[in-house]
Amino acid sequence: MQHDDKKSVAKLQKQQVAKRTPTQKEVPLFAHLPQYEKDTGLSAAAVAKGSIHPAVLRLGLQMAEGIISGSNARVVGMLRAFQQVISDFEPPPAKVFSRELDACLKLQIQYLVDCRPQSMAMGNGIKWIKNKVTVAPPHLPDEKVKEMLVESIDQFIAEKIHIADEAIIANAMSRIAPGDVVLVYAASYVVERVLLHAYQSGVTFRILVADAGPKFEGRDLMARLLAAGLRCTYVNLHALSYTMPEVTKLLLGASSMLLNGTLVARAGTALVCMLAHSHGVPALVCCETYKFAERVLLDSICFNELGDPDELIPPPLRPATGVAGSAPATAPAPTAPPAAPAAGGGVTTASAGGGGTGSVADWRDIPRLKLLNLLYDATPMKYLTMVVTEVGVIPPTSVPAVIREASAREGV
Amino acid sequence: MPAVSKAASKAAAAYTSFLAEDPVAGPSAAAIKALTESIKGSSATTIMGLSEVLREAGAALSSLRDAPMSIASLCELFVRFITRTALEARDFDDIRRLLIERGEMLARTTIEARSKIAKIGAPFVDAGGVVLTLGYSRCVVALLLAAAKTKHFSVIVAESHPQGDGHTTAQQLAQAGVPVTMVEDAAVAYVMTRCQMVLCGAEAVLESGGVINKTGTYQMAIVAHAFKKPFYIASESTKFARLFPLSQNDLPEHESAREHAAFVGRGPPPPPLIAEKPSRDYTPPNYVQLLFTDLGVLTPSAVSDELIKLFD
Repeated sequence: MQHDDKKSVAKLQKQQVAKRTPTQKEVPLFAHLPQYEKDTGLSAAAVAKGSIHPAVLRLGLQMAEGIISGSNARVVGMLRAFQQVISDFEPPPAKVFSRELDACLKLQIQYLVDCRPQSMAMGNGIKWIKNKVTVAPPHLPDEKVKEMLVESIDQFIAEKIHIADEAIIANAMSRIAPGDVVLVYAASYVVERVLLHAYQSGVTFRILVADAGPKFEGRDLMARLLAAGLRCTYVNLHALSYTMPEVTKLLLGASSMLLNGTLVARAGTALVCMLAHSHGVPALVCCETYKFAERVLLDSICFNELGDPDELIPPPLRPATGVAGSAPATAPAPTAPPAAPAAGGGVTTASAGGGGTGSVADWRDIPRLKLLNLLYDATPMKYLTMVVTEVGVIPPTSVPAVIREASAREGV
Repeated sequence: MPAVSKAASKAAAAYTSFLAEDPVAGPSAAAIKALTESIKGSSATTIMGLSEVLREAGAALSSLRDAPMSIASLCELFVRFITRTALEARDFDDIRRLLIERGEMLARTTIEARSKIAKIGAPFVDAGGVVLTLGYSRCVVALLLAAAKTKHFSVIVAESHPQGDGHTTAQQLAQAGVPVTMVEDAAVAYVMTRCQMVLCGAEAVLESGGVINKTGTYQMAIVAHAFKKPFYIASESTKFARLFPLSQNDLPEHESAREHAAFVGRGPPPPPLIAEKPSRDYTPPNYVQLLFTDLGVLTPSAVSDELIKLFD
């Protein structure tokens, strides 16, 4: 879906369950992506429509607010919500159950996408559940079908995510040798557990947490690792080349792995991988096979997600929960602490005061200033060494082979 | 270790005798035969019991000196085959029979594989060209002899210390009338400009598409890469193993039993001096152009695909 195409945008707006405010300032190269604009009234329209399940309503808001984030958490959240939708679903009389349920799910999915663009892993989950619904035997009573679907969702979550994670942890843990310096970037749930398990198994190693704005997810990760007793070093992305020579392994999480071996992960991952590659450091990606997507990306432009542009503004300068379009002309004048400009990674200009012209906080009022907050990037296959999956450790070239085998098995 | 069962030590003995009795067949075929033999000799009456026997035999074989790296994977293949046939077979005896048949077939194909590899690999040797090789690989020798039937070319063989088994290759080729030059391992870069291609065997072909082979293979591959010469591997598919080392440190340590060449006639090294003689090294896939196998000519990335098909 191209968001810079007027026709398809008009069509989308008709389908939308929760209307989004159109953005005022889009960055031209990324105009084809769903534009981010903070909306406070997301659920109002959906509630008014009445067809969205409360569990989905809640999940949509949680995703929009970033309370549920991380690709596994989002997929599990979505499937759990669908479980409730399915068990509460009452088809209109004299209609085909599976077709009605499919239409109902479509609406729920549309709402979730309205709240936050879906990830590729979610796309895979949606494809799977839709297929399950359509192949449900039509001769069985509705209650039986519901039971079956709920059960197969339980099974999917257990097999493809929980058990898969255990296998990945076991596979990746054995790769951490005594004396290693393991580099991690941002935060990944699986990577964190690999590190903790390796530490508990008695391997002495050191961790280098690389991190970058605007989210600084590595800080929370580091806090948890430190609490568990691991030895950590924290470094920002800009200083990574200085610390790279001591690194022996790079351990990464993934949002998705693609047919051409490309890794889609938190923005900045490609940079870290390339730097590791140039230092001869092997890059290991931990990825469950359900996240393998049957598509190809060559760059981070065609597919990406735009985050909240206000995140790029250093916290002290940020407008207080500014609702779209009503960014106060005079932002609440912050008593700028001396450390404030440093936190923004040098994006602020000399006038740190919120009200003055030339401050990023006033970007909505400065005609020639636009903010771009990309959430993901694509790392080409040649910068990756191995993919740790539940079916074993494979080179990134074998992603298509795994997809092929999996779809062959599904077909049988 | 007292836990080594009688069956396991029997498997190890069978392996040694198969290897001695038919040196042409090579260690892979001997290992398969020994594993098949351990199924024949086992008194197991359950699938679990049979898998256990195989695992023990496999462990006993891998602990042998100079046993090929791929034994663990071979063993795994057998066990997978059991669990797969268990669904189709009528009873336990049927499974056993199928398994033995499968083992015998695997041993036969390992030997037949070599002529197939020779056939598909021979066209890669240029008439009038020079081929550089090292160590002793039955596949490589078979391939070169097959190529020599239709064209003239010469071979340069590196001595391949610590075992020095490049001499065996050189002898066999010379006896067949192929012009052979012997060089020291240190002269590989010196002769590289003269060569059109580098061809090596493999002890194991790994998940990454890289290979484990005689020490010196890695440096030969690097030199070939620097000189932009193609580097090929000839290997049977029974040597494919589900291993994925990230560096040389990830290999199980293995030293040659031979005396260190540098200390021959000089006595043992004095205490602070250590004489290391690793017998194998790992060549990463980015240095390998193609692999000639009985499954066809594969790129390194296709090895993993084949392994996924085999083990999934």
